[in-house]
Amino acid sequence: MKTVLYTSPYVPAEWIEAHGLEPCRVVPSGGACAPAVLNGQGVCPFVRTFCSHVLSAQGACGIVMTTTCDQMRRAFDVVAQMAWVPALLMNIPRTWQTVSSRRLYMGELERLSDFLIHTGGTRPTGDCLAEVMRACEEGSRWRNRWAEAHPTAYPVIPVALVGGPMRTQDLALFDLIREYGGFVALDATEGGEAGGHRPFDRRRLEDEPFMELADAYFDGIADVARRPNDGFYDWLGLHLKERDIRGVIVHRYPWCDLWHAEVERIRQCTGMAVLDLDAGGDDAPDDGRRRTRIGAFMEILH
Amino acid sequence: MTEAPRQLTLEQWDLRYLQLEQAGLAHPSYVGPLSRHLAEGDLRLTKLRYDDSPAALRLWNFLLTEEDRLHEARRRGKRIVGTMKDLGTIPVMAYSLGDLVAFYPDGAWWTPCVMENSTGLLDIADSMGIDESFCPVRAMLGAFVTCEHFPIPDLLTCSVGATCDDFSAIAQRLEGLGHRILWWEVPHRRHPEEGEDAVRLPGGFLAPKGLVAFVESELRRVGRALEDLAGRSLDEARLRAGIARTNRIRQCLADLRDLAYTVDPCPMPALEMLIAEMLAIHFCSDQDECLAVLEDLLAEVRERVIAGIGVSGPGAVRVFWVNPVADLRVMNLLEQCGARVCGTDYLFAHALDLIPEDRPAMEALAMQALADPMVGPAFDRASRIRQDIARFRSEAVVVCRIPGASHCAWEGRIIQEVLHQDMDIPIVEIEVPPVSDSVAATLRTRLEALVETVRQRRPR
Repeated sequence: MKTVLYTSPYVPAEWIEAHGLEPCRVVPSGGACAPAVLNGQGVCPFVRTFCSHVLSAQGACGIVMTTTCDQMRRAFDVVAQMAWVPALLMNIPRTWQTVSSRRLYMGELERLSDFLIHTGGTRPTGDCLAEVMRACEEGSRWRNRWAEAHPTAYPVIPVALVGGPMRTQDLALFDLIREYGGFVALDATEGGEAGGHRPFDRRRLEDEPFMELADAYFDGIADVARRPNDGFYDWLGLHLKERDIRGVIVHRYPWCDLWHAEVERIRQCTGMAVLDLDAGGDDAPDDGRRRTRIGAFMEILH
Repeated sequence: MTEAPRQLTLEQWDLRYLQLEQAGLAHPSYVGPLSRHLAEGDLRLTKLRYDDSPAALRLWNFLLTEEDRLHEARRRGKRIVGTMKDLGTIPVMAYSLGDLVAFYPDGAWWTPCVMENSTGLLDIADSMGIDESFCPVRAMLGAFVTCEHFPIPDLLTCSVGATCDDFSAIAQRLEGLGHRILWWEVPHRRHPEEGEDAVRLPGGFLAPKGLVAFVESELRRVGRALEDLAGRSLDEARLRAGIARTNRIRQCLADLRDLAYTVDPCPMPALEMLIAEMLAIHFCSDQDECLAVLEDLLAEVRERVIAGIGVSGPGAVRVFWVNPVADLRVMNLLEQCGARVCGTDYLFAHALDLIPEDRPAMEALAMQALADPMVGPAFDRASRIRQDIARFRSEAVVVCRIPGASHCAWEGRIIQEVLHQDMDIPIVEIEVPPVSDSVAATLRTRLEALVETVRQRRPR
């Protein structure tokens, strides 16, 4: 099956799969050998690694990027120019209060459909989409993937991990937190629960699957880039309470303004101890520094 | 014979001001000796060099008295609108309503420069976790906290979507401090798909018709808030009249740019031209006076052109300048290195284009908002720069990085790539902090190298 690469939570995997293509949500790795244009001063390491990854990926039939962060939006110019396969930039509205913003998102899903057909997919029927949505929902217990991976040794210190998307090399963070007596009881990163759509409404899914798909994604993602982003804080507050979280670790990349600016506000809004964890520049995070900071943070939470 | 213009220090301007006063210079009430602004903390003024014309004096005073004007407007019962991340759209609507005064809170990004970091605005931003990895526009956050640099607006609007993350994140923090913001969306301007209805925007870019309609609906939403504030309707006739007034300003500025960026010797210095261009975004809180200030400047330039005199010697290296400088002094530095500005893209090229008057007014404004070079692909912006370079016969390009700005990480290389495709033109990239004294030697060296390169390439 042909593969479509993407990373944004606003790209519905079900929509790609319903077109007969394989969705591949990239957790990128590498980055050190990125083309020169990606190595400019001020480039976000995640964006660099993502671009480097998709530009060198074998066997993909298309790349889908979104406008959810300015660096990713601008990186599209480079990817579209250098990639061997077609690339699409989806316009994701930052505002969410108006009908026209929702329509804009739906229009972008239609545009994604045209793109998928262009890359070898077929336009799905409503029944086909509904079937894929049902099947995906069944398999979506991955959401709290780390909780499932560590079901027995429940936490001494439950913490929340908050932030944008993660690279492969950043995933070691979960084990590092465990090593120091903590446990990620809430994965509120973009690739975790915060980036998940709301559960599909089973009845509506039968009647109007496309509308349900669009609404579930548009309404369901707890997105710090929304304006205003109160919805993210409502979601976070609810989950912190529900899971008895004791501390928050914000994982962010250098030059990621969206998350950097929120660290102080997360501290104020949650009233909890917050660790501002800079992911470091490139593909080898400064493990010693990171280890020391997490160790100290866990000690404080004890 | 008319005397050749000179660039003056602040002290020299004070002497000249006295002479002009004695000679009976007529001027608006806000015009006075520039050095009086030192008492307000505008310390950078002592380091700048100024054009010696009364028109330039008026321009500088108009700029430096904006805060007074805003306070005066509030005293007179006018409602104040802060139009954030908005390069020339919402102010047109606000001024169409008569009793509103719009200003540009982002303009605080020059405060650390003008006041040489003496206000602590950046320190305040630092203390809120908005450190130097963000663009200097973070000074705006400090200005809202101290309430010292402009009155807190009655309505705050902010465009979002295809904007830089720095500003979006800072504005969100501002809202977190309790300043309610009306967010309006400007989506990324993509190229129309094959067969999709498209619209040619002012400035030449193409956009899908659907995107124009979307932005129009967003502007109508903002328009309703402005109507509520003003207590009157923003009808088609009012908006058309407002657009016509705006276009008079833009036409005046276009004429000014045509002369200042093409005629040799250069009839107006780069620094005054930068200020003049900035006025086009929001009219410095007084639309009518803004036009008068620019007309005065244009008249001065015309006189100089007719007299064949200018501020630099003939043959100065013709430089196209990309992005505004965080430190105004660097515009002086360019000229001290033997160059002059011939063409600019200060991030708001669309705010210099005339707004179409042959369309429904709100649609025309939506078209101009989408024509913003920063909301589309960097390749589009680069292609517009390429056209302007040809138009102004620029010989070199300076891409001026804004420290911490998310777009600067990407666009410099793309602009270079596009220009190198079919133009043999030297390009240098520099980064200018709000007070550049510590890197002045490096900046000078890089600019001098550019100037030397151009001179060597000229036919002998």
